Amino acid sequence: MALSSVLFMWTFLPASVILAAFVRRTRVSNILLLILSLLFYAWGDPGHILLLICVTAADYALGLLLGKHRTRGVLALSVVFNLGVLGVFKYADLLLSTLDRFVPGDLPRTGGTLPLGISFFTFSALTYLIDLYRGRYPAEKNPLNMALYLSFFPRILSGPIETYEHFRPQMENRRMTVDGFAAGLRRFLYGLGKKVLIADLCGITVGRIFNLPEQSLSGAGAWIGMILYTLQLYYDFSGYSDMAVGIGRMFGFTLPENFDYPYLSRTVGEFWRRWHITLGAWFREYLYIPLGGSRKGMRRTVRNLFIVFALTGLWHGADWTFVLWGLYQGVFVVLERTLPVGKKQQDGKRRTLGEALTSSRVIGPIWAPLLWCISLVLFRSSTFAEAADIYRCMFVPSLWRNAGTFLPQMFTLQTLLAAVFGILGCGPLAAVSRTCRPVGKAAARFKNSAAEAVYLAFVFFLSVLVLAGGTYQAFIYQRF
Amino acid sequence: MSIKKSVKTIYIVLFILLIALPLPTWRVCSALGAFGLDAANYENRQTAEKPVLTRQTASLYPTQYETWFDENMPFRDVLLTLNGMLEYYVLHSTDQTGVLVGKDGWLYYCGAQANDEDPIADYKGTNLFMEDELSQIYQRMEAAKKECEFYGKRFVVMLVPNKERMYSEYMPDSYGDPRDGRLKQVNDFLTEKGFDVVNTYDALTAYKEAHPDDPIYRKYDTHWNWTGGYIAARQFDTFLQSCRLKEPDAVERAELPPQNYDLARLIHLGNVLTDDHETMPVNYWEETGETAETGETADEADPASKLLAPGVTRSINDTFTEYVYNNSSESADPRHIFIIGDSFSPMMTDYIASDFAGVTFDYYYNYTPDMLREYDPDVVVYEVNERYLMNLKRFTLDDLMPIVQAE
Repeated sequence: MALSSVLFMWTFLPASVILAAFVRRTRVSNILLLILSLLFYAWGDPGHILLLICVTAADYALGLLLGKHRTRGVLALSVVFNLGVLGVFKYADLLLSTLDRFVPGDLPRTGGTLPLGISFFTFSALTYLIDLYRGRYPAEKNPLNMALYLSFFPRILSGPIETYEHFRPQMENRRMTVDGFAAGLRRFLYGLGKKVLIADLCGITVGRIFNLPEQSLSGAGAWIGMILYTLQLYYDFSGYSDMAVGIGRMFGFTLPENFDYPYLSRTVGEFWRRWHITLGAWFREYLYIPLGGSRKGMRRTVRNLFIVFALTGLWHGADWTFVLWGLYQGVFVVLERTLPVGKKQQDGKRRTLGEALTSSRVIGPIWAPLLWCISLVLFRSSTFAEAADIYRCMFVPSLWRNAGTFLPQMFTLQTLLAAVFGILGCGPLAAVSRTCRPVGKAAARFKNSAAEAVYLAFVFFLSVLVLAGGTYQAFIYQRF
Repeated sequence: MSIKKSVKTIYIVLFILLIALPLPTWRVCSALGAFGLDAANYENRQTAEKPVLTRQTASLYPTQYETWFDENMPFRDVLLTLNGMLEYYVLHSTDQTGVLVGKDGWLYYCGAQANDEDPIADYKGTNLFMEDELSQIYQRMEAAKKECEFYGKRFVVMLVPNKERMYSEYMPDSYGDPRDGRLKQVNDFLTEKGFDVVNTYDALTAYKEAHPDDPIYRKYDTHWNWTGGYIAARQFDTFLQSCRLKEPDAVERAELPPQNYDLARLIHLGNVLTDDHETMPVNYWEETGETAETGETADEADPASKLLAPGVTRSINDTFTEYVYNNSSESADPRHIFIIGDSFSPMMTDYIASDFAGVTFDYYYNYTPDMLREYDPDVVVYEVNERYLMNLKRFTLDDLMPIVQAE
């Protein structure tokens, strides 16, 4: 049950809010939210609800053990257990299919489906256990609190990844207020609009373009498809994060932010501080810094960056295309940090590429978004061959055929509007409102105003129309 | 920045109205039958049944329930109609697969089903048959022709152009002008090979040029209208040298009531886009002085009841896939015509029936060789619309099931 589905919005969400509104005591409210979260998960993935419960129980026990014996051995056991669960359910088939290329005979496959949200709840569990080992808090004694932390329904499917340190006080001391509820609903409606009116509409055209036979895909088509996909991915994920943050707010929780206008970034490094912020923070906190970060010389820094980005890629999907995608990010982050460009400065040093990009008014604004857009070919493709075909269309001039032969069929006015609003909303408007005072004042007046509420009601209405439209699958004839 | 009290109240009201109330309101309204809520199925498919939760179905229950809920969502019909109207009237486009909104609100079919149909490729001429495909077509047509000739029958191929080709002036500019496509390719190929081919494109184009204000295809539908069917019927009957149908300008026209059109239904505006006023040629037969009974009583209020010529009776099977006409008029051509065709045929067979002693029409997916044996016609016609021309590669009089299975 997606947060943007009508079923969720018209049944689960109102029922949850109304039930929670009648509960005064935080402890009872936590139990209610836990039950709702388990129901939510069981509904979405009934086959793996037991897995979630078992992982929760195991992590609870490991937490108690770590609380008593704060040793590297117990920590290693905790890390191995959680990464093992992730490995078995998410990466086993990748490993087997890779080994299959090097060993004789056919290795079996697990053939299992990926448990919903497994990357999120195992990473959440790891933060709990690692920070516990670091002595940031005592072990959680209440298993229900532990379970709520791992399974809280707004964020279990797509994050944001929240530290236990941040969530724990909210389980003990929070209030469901009208103020928070209104702010949460406002945020939820923005997220819904981003997901349904921009991401999903762009996605229709993206699907049409990349479903074309290879010989029909032109350079323009491939570029337009990738630009739309770049918008789709951002609005899909950030929209979902907004909905999660908004729902959390309705129940009195403050979930961490996951996006900060990443397409305004001037470097790839900056991009990763603005895109999926909680994942970037997780890798920085629990991998990059423990590996030595940037404190042990440039070679170690470069090595650490490549490790982090290769694993970031792998986290996003169990395929080598994702690993290459991650390494691609790493290459540019390293180049931005290390590559000297331009003339020597007053201090006798040349600026790094990253510093040059940060101050560049021309290349800076397009560098990171363009590289990101190009990298998403790998992210979207299921095989290297598929990615290579799209790259050929994008970069081989002889394939830049006349796009007019198919684009009109792919590109409806709905998509055009979604793309225009998408491009304006992913950064340019925010940048203008920061630099242009009248626009900034108008934006500030609009924020939290009655006009904004009416606008969001309209967004909701349009979203429901589009969602309803998506359920209509008429056939011209009922044949055979 | 905190939210003002009045704005907070607005959000609470929005939550109640937009999120909390729709489902209970729907339940109450549908139970009371309020607002004339329409739960009819316009989708030409079996929608999901409400699942029952059992131990065996538990793992599938959520997915099945969500599918059922989506297809029975509160106010779905209203929402779909509003969505369709927003797309059609405001955005002049639609995201419904298979439909293209043209100029002046004309709707076109892009093809979204199986069977490789692609009217846009037909229009652009980008899907011409390759040599080996033409060879397959030749083999199939030759086999059908020989089989007919063996039994003393004549085999005729009747070609019907797509609406995109006939009304290209309403296609969006970005699609350019129509190019010679499969229709011309197949027509030229079969004609050159000596087959009997009736390409209705010629007669339809001639009529359209002479009568620019009298449409022969429907604005919101893939098909020709009754006038288009009449023009095609005249061309066919003339081809068989047995046409007694009056010139189109000389026939009486009966106004048809508003209809529900297939492309309008595809964008859920079947009940909204009904303004394509259509007339039906009636009293089209040349007077012979005979007063034979028609077999159906003419009803002044129902134009369709005036459709059949004197002496013609018609029976249609329960699934509307087989039409059988008998003509008792002494002046009728004694031959029996057997048409294997698609959804274009029913708009012309009523007219053809006035010229021949017997006409049988079967949808190509309903046809079986037994029918051919049962009706023992003199002329076998394979009517095929431009977007179904690939069916020629699989056509056989022995058994048309290969076409059906391929789809």
